[in-house]
Amino acid sequence: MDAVARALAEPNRREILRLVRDEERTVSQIAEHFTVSRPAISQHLRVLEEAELVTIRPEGTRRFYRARPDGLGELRGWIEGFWSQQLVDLKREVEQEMWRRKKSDRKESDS
Amino acid sequence: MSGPNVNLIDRRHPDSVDIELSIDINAPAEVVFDFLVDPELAFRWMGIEGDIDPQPGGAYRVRYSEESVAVGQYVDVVRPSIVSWTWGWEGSDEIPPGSSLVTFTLHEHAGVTTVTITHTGLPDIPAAQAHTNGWNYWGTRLAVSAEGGDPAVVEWPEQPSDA
Repeated sequence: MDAVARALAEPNRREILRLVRDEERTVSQIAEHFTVSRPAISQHLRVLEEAELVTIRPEGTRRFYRARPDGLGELRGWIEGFWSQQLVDLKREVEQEMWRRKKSDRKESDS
Repeated sequence: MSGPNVNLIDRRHPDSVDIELSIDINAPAEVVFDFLVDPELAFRWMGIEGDIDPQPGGAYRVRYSEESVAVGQYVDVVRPSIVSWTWGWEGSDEIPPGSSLVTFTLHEHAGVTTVTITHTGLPDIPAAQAHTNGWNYWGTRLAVSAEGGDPAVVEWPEQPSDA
């Protein structure tokens, strides 16, 4: 999976991208929309920047983040990231349920 | 319990934006299928909440975030191998409700089920002129926004001639 799909597999990062799609924002302005910490937001922005999904415009001491417009590439990456996260979540929940069922089967046969 | 062995296969179809992804799950297909059609199981992994009626023609509606609700209708539901539904985002111009097709295919071998998702019918890069206008419109709006312009002034392009 390429860097774009990996970057977009994380829901907070998709939300950040949505926030900066139509207007540029600073880290603080972005962080206001989330309950996660500001350093976590900064880390997410670094991942988005490395995947070339955002541009940065420095102004004085501030840095303004903006989604990089790339039409189809962004859309495809977004969709892939979305479904890859869904598959990982499905796998986790199914296998946890399998483990729970095996555990309760064992308990029943022990009693 | 050791961590899952994740194997994501990303196959891109070069001429369209169809997407295909697979993962292996250590469970029988019958169990995985239940996680697609039983609401009590499905919402453990799919979105935050929603309403699903997994039978052909049944409604699909899943909330993924405060602003994102996926909407569509079930097409095929065949135990334990196939579940498909039309899909789009409520309120979206780019991918409106029911505008694309999501198919989950389950294939079991020796107790391991390979789950493959295909997502087809997504907005196409200009291949046929008939579909170009919608895509170019969206792409142009994004570009205008990025340059600080007002995307609302981008006009829907004229129909191309058959030259």
